[in-house]
Amino acid sequence: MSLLEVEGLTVTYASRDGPIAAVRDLDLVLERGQTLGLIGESGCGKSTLGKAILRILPEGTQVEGFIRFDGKNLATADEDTLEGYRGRNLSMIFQDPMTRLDPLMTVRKHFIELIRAHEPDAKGAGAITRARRALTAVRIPPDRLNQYPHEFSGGMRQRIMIALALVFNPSLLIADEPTTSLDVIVEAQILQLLNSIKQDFDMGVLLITHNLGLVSEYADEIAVMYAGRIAERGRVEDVFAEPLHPYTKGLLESVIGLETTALKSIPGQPPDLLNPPSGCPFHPRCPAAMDVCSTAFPPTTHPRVGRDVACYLYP
Amino acid sequence: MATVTVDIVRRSMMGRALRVFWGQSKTVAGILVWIGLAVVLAFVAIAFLAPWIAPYDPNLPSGPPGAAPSAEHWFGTNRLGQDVLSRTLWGARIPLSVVALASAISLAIGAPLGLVSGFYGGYLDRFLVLVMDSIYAFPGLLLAIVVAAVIGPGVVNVSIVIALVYVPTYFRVIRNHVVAVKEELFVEASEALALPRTTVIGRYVLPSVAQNIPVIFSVSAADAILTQAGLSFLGLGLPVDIPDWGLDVSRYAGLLQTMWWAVFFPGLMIIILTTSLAFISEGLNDILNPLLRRKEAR
Amino acid sequence: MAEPLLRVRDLKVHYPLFKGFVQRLLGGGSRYVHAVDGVTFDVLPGEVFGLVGESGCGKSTTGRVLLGLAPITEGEVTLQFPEPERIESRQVRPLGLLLACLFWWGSAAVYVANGLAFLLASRPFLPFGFLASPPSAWLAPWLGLAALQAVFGLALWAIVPWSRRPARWVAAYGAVLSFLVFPWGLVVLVFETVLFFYLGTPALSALIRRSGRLRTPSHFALGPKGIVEGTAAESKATSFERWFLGPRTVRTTGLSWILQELRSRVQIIYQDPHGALNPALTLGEMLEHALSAHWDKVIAADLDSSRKGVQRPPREEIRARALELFDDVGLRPPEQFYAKRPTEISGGQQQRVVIARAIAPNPRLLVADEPVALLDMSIRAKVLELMLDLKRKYGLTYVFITHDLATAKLMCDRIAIMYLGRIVEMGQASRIYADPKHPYTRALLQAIPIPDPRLRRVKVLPKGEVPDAVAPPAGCRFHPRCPVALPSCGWEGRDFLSYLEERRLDPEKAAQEERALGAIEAWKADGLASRRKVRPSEREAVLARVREALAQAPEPLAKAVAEVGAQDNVVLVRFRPPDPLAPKEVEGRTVECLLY
Repeated sequence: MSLLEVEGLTVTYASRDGPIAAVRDLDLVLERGQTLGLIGESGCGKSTLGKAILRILPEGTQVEGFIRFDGKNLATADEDTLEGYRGRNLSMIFQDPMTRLDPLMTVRKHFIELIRAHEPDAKGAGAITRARRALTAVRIPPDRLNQYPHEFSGGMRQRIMIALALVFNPSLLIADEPTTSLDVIVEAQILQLLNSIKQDFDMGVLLITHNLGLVSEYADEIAVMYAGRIAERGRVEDVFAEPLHPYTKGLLESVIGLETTALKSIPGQPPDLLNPPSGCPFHPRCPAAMDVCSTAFPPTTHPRVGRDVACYLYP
Repeated sequence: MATVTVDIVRRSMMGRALRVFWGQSKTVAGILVWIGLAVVLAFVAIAFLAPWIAPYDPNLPSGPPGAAPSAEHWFGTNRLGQDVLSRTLWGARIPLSVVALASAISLAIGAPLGLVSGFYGGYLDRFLVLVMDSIYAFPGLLLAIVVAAVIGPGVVNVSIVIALVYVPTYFRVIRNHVVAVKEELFVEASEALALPRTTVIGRYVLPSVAQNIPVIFSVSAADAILTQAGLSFLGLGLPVDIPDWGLDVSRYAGLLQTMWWAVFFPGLMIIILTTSLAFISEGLNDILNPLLRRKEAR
Repeated sequence: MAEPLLRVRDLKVHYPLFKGFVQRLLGGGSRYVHAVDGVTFDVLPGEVFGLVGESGCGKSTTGRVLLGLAPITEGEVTLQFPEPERIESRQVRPLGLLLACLFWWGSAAVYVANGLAFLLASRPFLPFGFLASPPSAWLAPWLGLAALQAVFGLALWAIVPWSRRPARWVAAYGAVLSFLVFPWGLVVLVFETVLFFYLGTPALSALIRRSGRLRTPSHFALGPKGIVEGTAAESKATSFERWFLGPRTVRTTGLSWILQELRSRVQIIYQDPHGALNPALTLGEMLEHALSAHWDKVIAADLDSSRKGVQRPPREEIRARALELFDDVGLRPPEQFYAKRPTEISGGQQQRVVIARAIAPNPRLLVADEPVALLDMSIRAKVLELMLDLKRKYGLTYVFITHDLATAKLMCDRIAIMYLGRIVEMGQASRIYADPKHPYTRALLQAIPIPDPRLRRVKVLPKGEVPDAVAPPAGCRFHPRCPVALPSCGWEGRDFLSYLEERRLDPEKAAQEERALGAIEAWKADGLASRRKVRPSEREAVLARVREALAQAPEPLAKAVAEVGAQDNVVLVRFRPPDPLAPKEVEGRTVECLLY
């Protein structure tokens, strides 16, 4: 059985101007020991998806569909069950570690608070040992437990967050743009660390990012999101070698890497989620758009082994 | 021509602000504001129309002294035989005009000083903050009493006195906000473009900061009513022959047992007016802050 | 070889860290953030010069120095624009300015004083009763105040010769204030407004302005004392403004004309397009502000001399030029975007507006501070393309600041790699990318994720992160992280402590280490040495352990140790001083590294 199975997930925000469907009818599967890179640009719904799995969305947000984890459907589970999962079996790390750590609490207190939240009877000494072990796993000198978040650099803070996320040996780690605010060398360090931890702890990692290079280097599978839906999914080597969906193609062409010689971009603007285009949301910008594309969202097909595409070019 | 005007209204900040308030009328905060505004406007209308709607002259005895509320005198008469209803209606004028004037003056003094002080910083700022904090440290009524004693009676003087009490509030809030807004990237961008100082202060800093003003206004106005009533109560500030709620409350407070109507109605008006102003400020606060946050968050 | 447009020589920007009251009492030197610590480079006209590095390396600060937005602690920046001196028809006559200030500032003083006067005189409040008072009641005070006007205006002119615009605001404000208290203020307001602002201004303008030649500088030198080029009167005003208005001098100082001139030739594109746009204004208004502030430069570029000496730029012309700019940056149809607000457009469009605003004053040099870092990948290429198009169309020169080596490779002709306030490698971009010499450059290139799984490789990354700029490492700043460091690179006490910390990362060994060498807090780093207080009885044991630890240490660290010894109750580890470090020419680029 897969570690995480998402089926028909729809997340609708209640905004001042009307309901916004940030995620629409989405399917996703994640296996143990695997890193799934979820790629998308701003507004595509990838952060929403990550938060939806942990159900940490703002009040008034509607979640429909199935999120199967550990035999339960997280989409309909009650708050108590969810609290039992969060931080324990399912962890999440976020983009800006400084705002996620309490500046008035030492690192030690962060750990103790976390451990006590799930194990109210945990003894102090045991908790400290676990904290020290977690810090060592992320290569932070354990003696720095008594320091405050502002005494650490950006990369170290992110590693503290990772350590906090690992205290209970979760089976699934969701990383929402974990290195976007960090420099490129630190970014590489953190992702290498995540990879080794993933192997040591036999975790599944959902890496949410807009950086195609990261996905290429550190992920096993890639899923491309556009306007709340998955446009394409498959093994990283396959998708990069032969992108099927026109959006994936456009993205890969527009990425600026060391080997890029020409500037290419995707014409048009990202879609307005209040009034999304009919049918396939990419059709206004798609170089291969056909008449059928504006009628209904294309069904997901498997034109190659292990690949999913939602595009009328591959019926 | 007409379309241009509509467009200007639509596009201007005022226009947008009004539309936002209209859109907020269903929320709790919005309802509070509407209620408060309605009551305050009603009071303003009463004050204005007093000469026509008051049944009797408020200063002349029009009935037996100390009469209880009856058909001829809905609110009864006081010890001098003056109709309490007429006094109550006429009595709206002083508090409203004093508070309006006082708020206008303190806004006119406090806000620009806060703007300049926050923007330029340095010794000017340190000096002004020191001065303002010193004034702020005094309890409002106490300060008002002291200054009123020095300046003397009169409606304008009372207004000035009360204005003085609230200048530091305007100053502090505006100045602190200016100091924060000054760090915004678009303000630095206007510096980088070498825009004239007046444009930077007026079009780049002021719009963000100005949103605080209605809130401070209603908070200080509510408090000012009480301070003015307090001053009248203590006999400072106003000539005795003009009807005023605070004055009446002071004169007849001792007669609460026997002539409750002479105290009750003016006092009730004070409470209602103050509460309405507080409603407005609370509601505005709730409405404006999420807007501010939303703008910054996006 | 063309004359460089920009010359930066040994630029240093140090920001002081403000110490708390108690700390200041206890003494000790001030601490500074060494944001930029000795940077030297040239930028040639028409090229795209890249400043590349991670956060904290000083690239953004360097960019801001070019506009006078960051203070220079040491060093010099000179800008030379290849333009003939232009003829201007406006020049201010001192006497005229004096008179103008007398009237303008004086009238402001009148209104404020009006208010004060009536505070003291305490008239009763009679909204419509002013007609009841005889003129003699107000004439005398008004005349007296007019005299005050003259004195006040004179004093202000002597101190701060600001432009007349603020005076108008102050005057209007004073009028409103006095009107509230003094109904007569309305009469005075109307009278003085008519007299001074409408009848007087044209007359005064004639007095003030005369045609003549004003040298518009084409050469600027920025240094620690401000902008050196400029008249003597300018420097005096600037010092007083600095004293009176506070310590944030460069940013809040009244804008001297020299700064205005500089900023009409050098402009900046910001990283955060949403933050850089004023949410209270429409896009068109923002461009109009930028254009009218520099209108003389805008029309001078169009050498049709019939428009010389324009005082107030006509609205229609400004609007027309703003629409042209919208079109230039690809926001079409321009009329539609004119009335929009920043929140109504996307990130890429916002950045285009920022670019349009930046080129409005017709600059020669554009500092682009991470212009595409916050934009989506599919939009970056478009914006970069726009920047290159504009460069061709307007003959611009770019200083391109970025942390993304891939973008820099695509856009830049020459690049300088910065680390912790210094340039470590600089030269032709093609040469550097083909064969990076400095270990930091190599590390950066390795770390960049490549969007091609076939090219996945194991990366050898430098350990640790960019250290604090308050106390940069000695010698070569990169040495604590450098995989190929030498013993002479600048090892010091702190590095020994870091090494001790590293040894304890293994939990099994940690306890052992602690017993042997003591808690990390017991060791103090002091420049090239590191000490620990010990009891004389343990001295030899600790010494032995230290030697043992050093034997296991990485080679450069171990070889750099000059002395391990003990004196009284102190165990000491001292390193030898680093070799001097200077940029060297190596294969067509400059590198600052002891490997060469």
